[in-house]
Amino acid sequence: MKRKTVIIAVILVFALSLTCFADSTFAPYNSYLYDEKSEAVEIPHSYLPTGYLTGDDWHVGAMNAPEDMMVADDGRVFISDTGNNRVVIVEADLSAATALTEFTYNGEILTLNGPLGIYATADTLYICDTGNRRVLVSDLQGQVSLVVTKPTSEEFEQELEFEPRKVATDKAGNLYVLCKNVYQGAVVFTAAGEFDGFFGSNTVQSTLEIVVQKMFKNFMTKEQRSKMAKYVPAEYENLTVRDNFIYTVSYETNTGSINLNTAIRKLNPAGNSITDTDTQFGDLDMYYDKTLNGTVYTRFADLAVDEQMYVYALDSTYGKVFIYDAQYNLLCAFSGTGEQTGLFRYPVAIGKTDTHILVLDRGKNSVTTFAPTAFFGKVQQANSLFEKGLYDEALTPWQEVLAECSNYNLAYVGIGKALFQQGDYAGAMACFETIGDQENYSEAFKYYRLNLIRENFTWLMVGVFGLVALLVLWSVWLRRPVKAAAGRLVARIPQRARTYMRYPGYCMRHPFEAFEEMKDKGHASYVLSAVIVAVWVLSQLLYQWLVAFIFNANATGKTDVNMVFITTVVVYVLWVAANLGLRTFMAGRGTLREICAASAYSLLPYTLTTVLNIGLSYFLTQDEGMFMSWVTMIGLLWSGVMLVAGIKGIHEYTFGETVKAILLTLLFVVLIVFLFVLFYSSLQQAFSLVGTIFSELRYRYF
Amino acid sequence: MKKWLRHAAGLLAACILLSCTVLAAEEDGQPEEPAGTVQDAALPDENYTRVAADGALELYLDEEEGAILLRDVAGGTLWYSTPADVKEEKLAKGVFKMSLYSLVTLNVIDSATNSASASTLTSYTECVLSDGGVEYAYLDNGFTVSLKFVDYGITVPLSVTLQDGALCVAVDTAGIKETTATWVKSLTLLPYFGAGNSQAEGFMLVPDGSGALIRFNNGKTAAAFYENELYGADLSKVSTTNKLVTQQSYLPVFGLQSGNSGYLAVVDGAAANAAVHAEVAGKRTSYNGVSAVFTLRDASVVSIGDNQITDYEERIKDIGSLSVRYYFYANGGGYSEMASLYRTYLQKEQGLTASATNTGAYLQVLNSVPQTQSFLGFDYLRQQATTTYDETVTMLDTLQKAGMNHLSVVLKNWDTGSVKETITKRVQVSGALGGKKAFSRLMSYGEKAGIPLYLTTRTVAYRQGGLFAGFRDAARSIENVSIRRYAYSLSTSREDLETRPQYLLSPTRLMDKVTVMAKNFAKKERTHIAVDDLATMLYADYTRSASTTKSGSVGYITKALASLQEQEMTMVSEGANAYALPYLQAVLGAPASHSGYDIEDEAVPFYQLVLNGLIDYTTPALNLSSDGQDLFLWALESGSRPLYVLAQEGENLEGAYSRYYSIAYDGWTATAAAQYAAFREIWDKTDGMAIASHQLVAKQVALVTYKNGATLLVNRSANRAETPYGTVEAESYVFTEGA
Repeated sequence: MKRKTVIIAVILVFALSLTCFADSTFAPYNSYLYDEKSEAVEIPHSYLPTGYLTGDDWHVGAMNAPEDMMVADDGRVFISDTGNNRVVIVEADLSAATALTEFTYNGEILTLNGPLGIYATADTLYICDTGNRRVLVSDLQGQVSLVVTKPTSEEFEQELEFEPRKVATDKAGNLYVLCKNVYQGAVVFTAAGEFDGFFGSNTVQSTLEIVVQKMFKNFMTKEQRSKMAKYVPAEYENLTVRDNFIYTVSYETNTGSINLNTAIRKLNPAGNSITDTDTQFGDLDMYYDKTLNGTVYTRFADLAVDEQMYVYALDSTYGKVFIYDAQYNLLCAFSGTGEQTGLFRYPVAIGKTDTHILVLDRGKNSVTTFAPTAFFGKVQQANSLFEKGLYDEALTPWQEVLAECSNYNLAYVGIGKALFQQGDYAGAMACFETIGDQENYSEAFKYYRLNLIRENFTWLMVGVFGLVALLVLWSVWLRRPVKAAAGRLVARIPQRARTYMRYPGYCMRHPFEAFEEMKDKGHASYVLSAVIVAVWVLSQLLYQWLVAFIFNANATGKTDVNMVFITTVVVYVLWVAANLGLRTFMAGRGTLREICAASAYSLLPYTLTTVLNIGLSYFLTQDEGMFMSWVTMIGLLWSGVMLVAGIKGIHEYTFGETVKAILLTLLFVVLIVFLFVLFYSSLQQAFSLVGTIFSELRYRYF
Repeated sequence: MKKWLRHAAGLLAACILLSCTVLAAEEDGQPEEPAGTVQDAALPDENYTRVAADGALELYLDEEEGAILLRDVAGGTLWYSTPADVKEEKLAKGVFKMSLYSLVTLNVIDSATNSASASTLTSYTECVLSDGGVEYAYLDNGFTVSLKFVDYGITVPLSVTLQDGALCVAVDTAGIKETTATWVKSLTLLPYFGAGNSQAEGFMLVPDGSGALIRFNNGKTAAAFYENELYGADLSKVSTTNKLVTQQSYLPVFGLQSGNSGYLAVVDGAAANAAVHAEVAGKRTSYNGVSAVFTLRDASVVSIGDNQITDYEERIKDIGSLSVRYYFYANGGGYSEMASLYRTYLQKEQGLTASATNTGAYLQVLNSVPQTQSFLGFDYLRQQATTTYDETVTMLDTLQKAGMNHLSVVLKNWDTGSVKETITKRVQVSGALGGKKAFSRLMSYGEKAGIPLYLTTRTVAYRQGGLFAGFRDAARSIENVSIRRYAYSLSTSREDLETRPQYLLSPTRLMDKVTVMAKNFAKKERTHIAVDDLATMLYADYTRSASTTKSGSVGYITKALASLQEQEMTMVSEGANAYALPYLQAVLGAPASHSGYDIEDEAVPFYQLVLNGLIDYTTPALNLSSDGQDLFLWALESGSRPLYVLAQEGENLEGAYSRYYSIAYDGWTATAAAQYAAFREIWDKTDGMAIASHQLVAKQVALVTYKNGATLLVNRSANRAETPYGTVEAESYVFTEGA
């Protein structure tokens, strides 16, 4: 407690002495992050809106539906003012601007027609003069040095118009041009304007639907094939270059699957993606829009990358700005759509100066500026130390971040790693557990376990010897009297019940004989079956609830209890029903009671191994998790063997018949599920009809 | 009087005016000749005839044109309903141009087609220019005019009178007649009263949050105009998406200053169904105007199958008289003057009396949060303690020892009902927080230490109750279903249907619930309560048997508050609409800013200036601000008391509580104590920050003058500021004691 107080005092002094970056504390939005359960949680603002600049503020007249903006390294801002057919060049302090409407090329005057994209280096402008089907390379005074038009190469589909949308350039002066309706990737031109192929095409994601369609295509005529929807790779929405890496944003519209994983990509000069991350970019929350009949989710329109390799991405669906660090950790998400300063109508481009984030709004014809807060300054300070691997040095800054925002998960990672480095494994584990980081937790646990064993080696040895001694004691002196006493106890239970209770154990040890005997002697029991199934369900629930943190799915999500019931009770009931139905077809001799019992008793090994795994999980690291899988495999195999034996025994099948019966039962189960789904969907329609009638009645008469 | 004497007096008056101007001058220097008002008390032009006089005000009417003119004799200002230079107007076309000539404009819909689109009718085109469209009747203090929108069969009775030094413009809704299928959807009173033209210097005040200024001709013509409902949007209209963060319009006022003359307008009839509209020159007309728009009909949109049916209310809302009172001044006093006019109004007309103010800090202690726990994977809701009763005692003790010796405390989620959020019925002490004995210890500690402990109650918003709570007790929307308010997703801003919905109590049931609660609290001698939801949430209820409008709800709520006050409850609230102010001891978390609409220029502490010296008010929680230093400076300049939300431990709170991201009190004790000391110094030397005037002297630099002559220069900008009143470093302040 004392240490925390000191830290806060330090923060206060820091806050008082440091000139805060942003001008006001108010922002018309909430800033947030996603927590370990992928739920949005609020955090202090990282960036606050500081202004809203229009063409009138720069005395160049209002802009008209501008489409793109580029912040050059010297801080100057270049805007393609699409509706006015001009380029607006804003000074680095954003106080004044000039407009460039006329260009000269070999003495000839060129004008623009709906320029969509713009890119700029210190002294050169690259303009997608979309309406004129060309890309202009010009100096800042409007002297054009190169005009790039449609490539004549066969590689470029000649029926297509050359409609450049966005452009970027690397250090060598190569041009990367995104064109409308070109899906092979960016069209590359050399510095001299020669066509040089395509760059970094997005691949079509292999979803089940696409695989199935490919299969069907083999059996179709050409005509039929052409009528089918074409699956084309996602088109790049935009691109930018930083240190010879090309960053792209794309949006999948037609594959049906939503892949936020590749929404932002970093490509090396060879065109290969090196975004080696499982980060889901953009908002993890999405919703189904009835009127659009589709899922609404993040669509990145533009991105900017600064010198620290932080990625600033602009989403046009909700008007959000996302900031990722060089490792693609989300540092902050903010803003939205609206009529307040800091919100957008139709955001199209984002830029980053040394200090500010700029967003170009096509709807408001304005540039909104955002400045970082002191809080974000601290995050950056901590994170840059952390990224350099200076975990110890980053510890205090991360603690400061956490004091101001207990929701900041990245701070827990930083603190956890620092504690790990200092050898405080228990502390590190606590940090990682807070944020559901199983991987790092497991790593810390490994050392924690090792230390525990080392420190308590003597006691451990004493324990082992004690256990051995106990075993000896047991087998020599205790076994007989205990067994006798147990026997006397058991004897009090009625003979019949005793037989029933012993039976499952017997089935486990000698399945083939036991199930045949069960048929003969009538040892199947409904009650016992129900108890075993209940225990099975309980074991599954317990597993979900009690298994150690490293293996607990609840750490990063919420497991669905209904799923447990569906995968246990429902499956059991379906199995029994299907098997019973099949009996008539395959002349089985088993009764319902016997089917219930055989199926239930077979579950015992699997149930036991599940419980065993719960205990085991507390001693194992993530890598050693395969031991648990093996245990599960043994349990499943054993249960499988018992099931085969059971079906064979009660129905008095041959082995071949048994296999056939099991396969057919499974088929039956699928059939029942299918029929149920059909029934359910028609039932749903009936319900919605009743609902409509009800709402109309209520509206009219009550 | 001799002629030279008159000249001399005029000169003297001009000098005074000029010096006032300098005092109030914004950085852009001398105001030019304003339009819409005439500085000199020259007689109005001959078309206008005088119809009434009341002390310093004279009311003139131009029968031909259907325009009024108000002469502020003392201030020497003329206020036109139709701008004096309207003939030169070039930008406005059609209905917008005609609005400039009109006393009233209507937004109408065609009930035959029930189309959602509305059109605008102006009183000038439809009444004044039509035969028999206007019918005047004169009164002692003004006149009434029956405005007949001849082609549409609508009659609107407008009265314009002078009352108690104010211009009072009113329409009685009961007198509005509709004879055809054209129905009135909304009505605007005096759309361009006193509007400034495109050369005028001045500003409009809108009650957005703390208050915001929209400067004349600010060039923001691409921005949407300002239009926001008073007392917040009607909560009975539930939207599937929410606006992001906006501030509520707590006060039913607006204002306009042109040159040195200005007015403050109070919407004193049917304010709850009104919105304030403001626009700058260059958008629709060449004038900067502000006015009140009253909603008379709402529409229900019902989805039946795939069809959407829009149905307007059959009758005009029964909301009595729509009225606006204008109070005038000519001393260039700006929003400070407007605030003082409104204070006078509240004291005279609303019976607001100054309650003893406390210099000290306010705390909200978060005692618990509802938390979803899991047993075997089955979820259940549980009260998770964040500060037990005993821990609260320790916390208060620690803070007092750190020097914060004058505290007022609000306990949040202190009772068992806070888990399921039921309507508060009695003092439900929570076992999870320590039980009855611990609770008594806390209460007696408060008594001993002189710390009032306010218990937060839930009186209108609830999530759970008896068997029929979501059905019988809940207010209904216009679509005739119980209003269910779901939390909005932080990211998508859509309703999160997985959260538990919040219901709103039907206002007609409010009195019963409040009476029971007050009786039970009195029995346990707990008389300090916080009534956050009662003072801020407002909605209509369309339950067929007991419907009430949003304005009608104000009546139920004020009655409930009055009954609580009669039963000797001492009340505070987090935020408060104007109608709740007379019953409150303090307003916590008074808005520290405007909503930042594009059209707005800057936020001013109007709300704070109104309450200063009458009721205590605090900042939003200083420990949850993204820039605590800035909020601290704002607190100083606005005379706000500091507020902190604290808990023993409150890390990683989920859902709606994730906004409490920094509330662990041991981390904040030192900061809070340091800030408290800074406040204490100024409180002691300014009678608890009794403000005489507040003015902006540069961007984000404000000069506060206290009643005892002391001054405070606050610079919230990132740069050092040099002003005529001294130099002040960035993010800092200079306090000068009075002579």
